[in-house]
Amino acid sequence: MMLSIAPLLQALMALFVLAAASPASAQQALTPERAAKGKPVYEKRCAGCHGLTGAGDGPAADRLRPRPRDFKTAFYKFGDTVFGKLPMDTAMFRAISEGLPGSSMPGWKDTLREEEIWDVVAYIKDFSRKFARLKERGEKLEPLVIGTAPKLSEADIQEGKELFLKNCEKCHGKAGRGSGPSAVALKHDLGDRIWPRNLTKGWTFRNGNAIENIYRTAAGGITGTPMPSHLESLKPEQVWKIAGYVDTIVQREQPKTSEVIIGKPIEGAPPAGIDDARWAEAPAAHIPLAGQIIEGERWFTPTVDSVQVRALYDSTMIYLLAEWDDPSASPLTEPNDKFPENEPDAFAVQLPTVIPTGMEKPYFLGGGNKSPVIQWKWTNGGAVETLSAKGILKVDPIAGPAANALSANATYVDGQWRAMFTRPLTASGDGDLTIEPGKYIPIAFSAWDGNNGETAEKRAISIWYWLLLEPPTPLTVYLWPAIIGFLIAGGEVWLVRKVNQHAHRKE
Amino acid sequence: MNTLSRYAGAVCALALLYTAPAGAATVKGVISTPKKAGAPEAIKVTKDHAICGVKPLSKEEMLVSASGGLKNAVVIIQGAGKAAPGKGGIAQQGCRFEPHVMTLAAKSKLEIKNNDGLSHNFHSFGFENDPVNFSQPGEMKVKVVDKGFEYPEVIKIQCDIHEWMNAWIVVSDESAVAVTGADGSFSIANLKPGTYTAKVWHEKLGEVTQKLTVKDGDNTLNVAMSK
Repeated sequence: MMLSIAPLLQALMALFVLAAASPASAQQALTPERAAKGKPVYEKRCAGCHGLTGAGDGPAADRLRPRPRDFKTAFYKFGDTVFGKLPMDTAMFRAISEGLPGSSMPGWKDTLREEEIWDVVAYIKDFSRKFARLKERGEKLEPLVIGTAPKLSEADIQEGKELFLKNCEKCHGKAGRGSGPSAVALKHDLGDRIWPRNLTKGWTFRNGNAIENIYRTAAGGITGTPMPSHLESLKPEQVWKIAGYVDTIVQREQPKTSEVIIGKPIEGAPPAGIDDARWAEAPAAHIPLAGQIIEGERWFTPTVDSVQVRALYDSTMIYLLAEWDDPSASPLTEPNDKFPENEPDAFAVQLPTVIPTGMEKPYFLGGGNKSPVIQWKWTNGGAVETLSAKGILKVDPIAGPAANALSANATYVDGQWRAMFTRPLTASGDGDLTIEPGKYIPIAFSAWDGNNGETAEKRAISIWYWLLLEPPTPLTVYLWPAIIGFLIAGGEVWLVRKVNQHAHRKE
Repeated sequence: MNTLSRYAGAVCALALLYTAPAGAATVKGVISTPKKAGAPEAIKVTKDHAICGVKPLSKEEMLVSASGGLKNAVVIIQGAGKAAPGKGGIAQQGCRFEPHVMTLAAKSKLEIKNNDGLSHNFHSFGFENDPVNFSQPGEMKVKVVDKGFEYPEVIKIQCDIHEWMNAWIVVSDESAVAVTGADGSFSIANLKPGTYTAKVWHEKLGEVTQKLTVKDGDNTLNVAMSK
């Protein structure tokens, strides 16, 4: 009796999962005729990246990270099955229809009809003999059972945290930023270096960031990567608790890019350091960074993808706080044999040498011969320097008193660098910038992850943004509206009285 | 009675299919390499020193004896008999895999031990076979995997948590298989006389095949591998 119930239950659960995953795409029969119809669609739409033979080696493949899926090996990361198993048809349909966020795989639902997508699924499956072999053996794929998220109490979340620290911390790190001790030595099955996901940045999750998606990945793992399945060692309810804990640390929406970093004036003592309470007074500006692919060696795989910046200033000094996630503090104290690259981490703030009066700014990539820039550069374990640049690789330490005007210090905790730069507002000599409150000043950033082999032009960069030190609000700003308001109110009272008197007289 | 005889027939058929050929010939020999012998390179232990650092670890990819014998080469004499599926074993111990190279009859189960009391993962890199990758925390002292080793191929094993930990499982449906010892020697017994193809595989030196004529009694197969 038990034997006959189990498959029925499984089938019911499978139906449930399928229904939850993709309501618009119920399983369709994938016949050889369908595969034949899928061929021209595949060759027109997919072969450019995935290759004519499906080996993931189309003309564009070498420029894509992650690389396009190799359909011959049939390693599907997001197949709604446990690690290593072939994917469900519906998962393949979903990947084609919706695309894979954070990769180059676009969603095709606006270009292809649902029927055509199913045809392509049928065609793609023929690239690997594994699907046919499964059929020959009379076996069926077992979908990973997700169900619905249970209600989790505070105690469950706490237990989830403990389970996380025990099972996930080695790669994903204590704070979930992907900075565990094993993070720096991971490889994709096909050889490329791979990093554990920064679990605080939910918008980068390839397979969705809802709690059910988190459960699915933690339970089943990701085929072809070091991310293992956990249903062998944990009970489903324990994995749900882990998912529940990750749910509390994930930020789902990408913060909006800030065009302007607004610096706030402070009085009294200068900020005591990175943890000074007054940093909270300065709004956080979110600046995205991207790999430098314009000059010299092009760099497609930076690990630092954004920086959060705050600014404070007083009558003489400016204080800038930069915070960015980096999976390791390099140079590593214990470098590994797999990836011996071990340069120091670094960060630079770039400013023009004079505040531009018109629309024209120096070239964002390190300035140029006619319009140089200055860079405040902090290097982990190295010097804090003010540099003068006339191009991304034409960089020299600034001469004269400006060389010693800058100071910086930084701390690294659980996958996050926080660096504070301090400098006088006034230029310390020729070729330096005087930062004037109330003026829009172009500002740009660079970050280097040394353990990722980043030095010189191999780095993450931003375009120009603006720094505006907000002048303290003069008292008159508050006084004038009060005076005007008072006058208007008085005027109205006078007017009403006049009208009333007039009416009285008429009676 | 009828049932019994049917069972007996099935057992006989299985025995015919799977038992090693009951011949009297033996093939012995040494797999060698002109590559230099020497102390293997030490492994940099970068984490869990309290357990992984107890015994010094060194790389096992190229172990050559003073006389040039190559350890951990796999010898397969093809066509001598079908391997019987059974159960193989591998252990994560002292933050290395024991053994580093093993053979496994196709369709066998694999028993994976974690003797370290800390978190490992067991990640197989099959292509013909579905890869597996599961977390094996300290409390999970034994895990038996019954799928993932159905088809003959060489499968790399990796623990991703400890990046230096790897091993090789040579899945084969041949019964005449051996892994060379520290001096590069191996011995395969119970062969029938005949002509075979011998295949030798090593994780760094690749694959060599050669014809082999086996007569009753002792036969010698010495293969030098270089790349």
